[in-house]
Amino acid sequence: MKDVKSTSMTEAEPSVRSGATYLSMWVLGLLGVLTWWAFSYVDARGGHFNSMVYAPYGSTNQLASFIPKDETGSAFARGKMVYGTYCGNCHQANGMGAAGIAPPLAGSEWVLAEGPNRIIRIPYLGLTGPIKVSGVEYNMAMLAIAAGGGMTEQQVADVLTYIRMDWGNKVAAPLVTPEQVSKVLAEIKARTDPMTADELLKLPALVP
Amino acid sequence: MNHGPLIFLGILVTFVMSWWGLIFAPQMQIGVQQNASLVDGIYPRPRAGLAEQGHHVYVANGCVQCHSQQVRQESYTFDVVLTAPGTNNEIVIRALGKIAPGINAGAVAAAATDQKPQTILTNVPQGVADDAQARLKKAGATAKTLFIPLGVDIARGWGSRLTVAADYLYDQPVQVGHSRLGPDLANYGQRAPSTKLILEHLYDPRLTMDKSLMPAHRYLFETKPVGKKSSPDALALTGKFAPPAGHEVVPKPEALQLVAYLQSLRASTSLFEAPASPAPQP
Repeated sequence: MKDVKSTSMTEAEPSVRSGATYLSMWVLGLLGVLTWWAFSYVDARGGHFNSMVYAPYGSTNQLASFIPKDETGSAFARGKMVYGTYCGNCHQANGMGAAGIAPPLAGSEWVLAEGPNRIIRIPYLGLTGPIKVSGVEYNMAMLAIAAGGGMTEQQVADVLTYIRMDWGNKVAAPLVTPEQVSKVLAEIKARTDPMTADELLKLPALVP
Repeated sequence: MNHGPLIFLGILVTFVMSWWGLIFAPQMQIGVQQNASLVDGIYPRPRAGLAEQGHHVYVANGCVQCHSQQVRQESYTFDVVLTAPGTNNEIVIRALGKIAPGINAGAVAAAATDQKPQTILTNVPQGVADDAQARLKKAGATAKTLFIPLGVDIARGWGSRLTVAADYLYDQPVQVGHSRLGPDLANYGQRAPSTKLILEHLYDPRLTMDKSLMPAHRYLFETKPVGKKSSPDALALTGKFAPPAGHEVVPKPEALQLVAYLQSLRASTSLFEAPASPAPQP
């Protein structure tokens, strides 16, 4: 194949040839490998282009793994959700209760007891009859809201942890564990009657 | 042949690509930065008025020509400290012996309190630290894992972690800097000496540092005759730095604003994107 340009020149001059030429397959292969390497390099180090990820960190998951695990803190956060679903309607979001509906939890000596042994029983069995909270006498009935699997043991533990920490409530060891809850549950397995304040007071504050 | 449309398209693509890469993509990434909500309030907080004015003095004097505000970090490591030995001393000491055979387990367990955490492991990978935590928890002791950022700037004492976009949220314009003829100032407020010493350094850097390259900023000060009483914030200058007899050197408002700004530079709060552990109490 001869092109126009080369025919128009004298034989002495070097010819410039135009037209198609074929790319060697190994160049294509090399380019492919290079492209693959470049993409995986960016993928591994780019932090998925998240604004929260700076070198030398790799991803948000990695950053999250550096945060010290705080069991009490996460139980508080979960418990707050549980409280909103099951407890807040009567005891109110601010834990102050409401006259004629529910006694307060904020500043309540029942909540602020050293251990959760007494208050674990209340969501499972309910509570009836007169009860004195922060010097005020209440006489109402609370349903056994967690009975029969109404709430999981984890949920009860979380919400009790939460009420022992929020609204200015301060307890030395606020964390209530699901193990403590199941221990108490085993004790009250046979019982279906609601608890009364006098019965609760006879129990130790700490889960044995 | 008319190449007009092709040239136009080529130019358009070139400009759109650079606009996309340099303006649009960064705007999408960090343009919506907000204060981080931390346990003890928000970070960063807006500067107080005097410090905010000082930011403008900093900009006007071109401090950014020699000082950066940017701490780099190359890697990180972990330390484990014991904060409470728990009740079962024997088991804790055995666990400590397994975790760190080199240390005097008995003395460490006896001395560890919340106020005086005892170092058990230094410079270990995350897995080792987690493993030590799990062992100590099983033994009834309480330990803390400290996150230690590493890098040349951190080794120089210029910061405790890398600086990130959130640190500059209230800087307008941002003074990140481009050269380091002087030390980095991102954390100057943390290591700054007293107001008086900073003022002296601004008046003439050779006062506080013999070989300082920094130009003197005497125009931020006023040399005036002493009145009935000498001014309370007059600089105590002696020798070749002393003003003429009967005169005193007092900082102008700009100098005080600049000092307030320098003292407000504290990019050290531990953030999600830039974790750092508070230094253990000695």
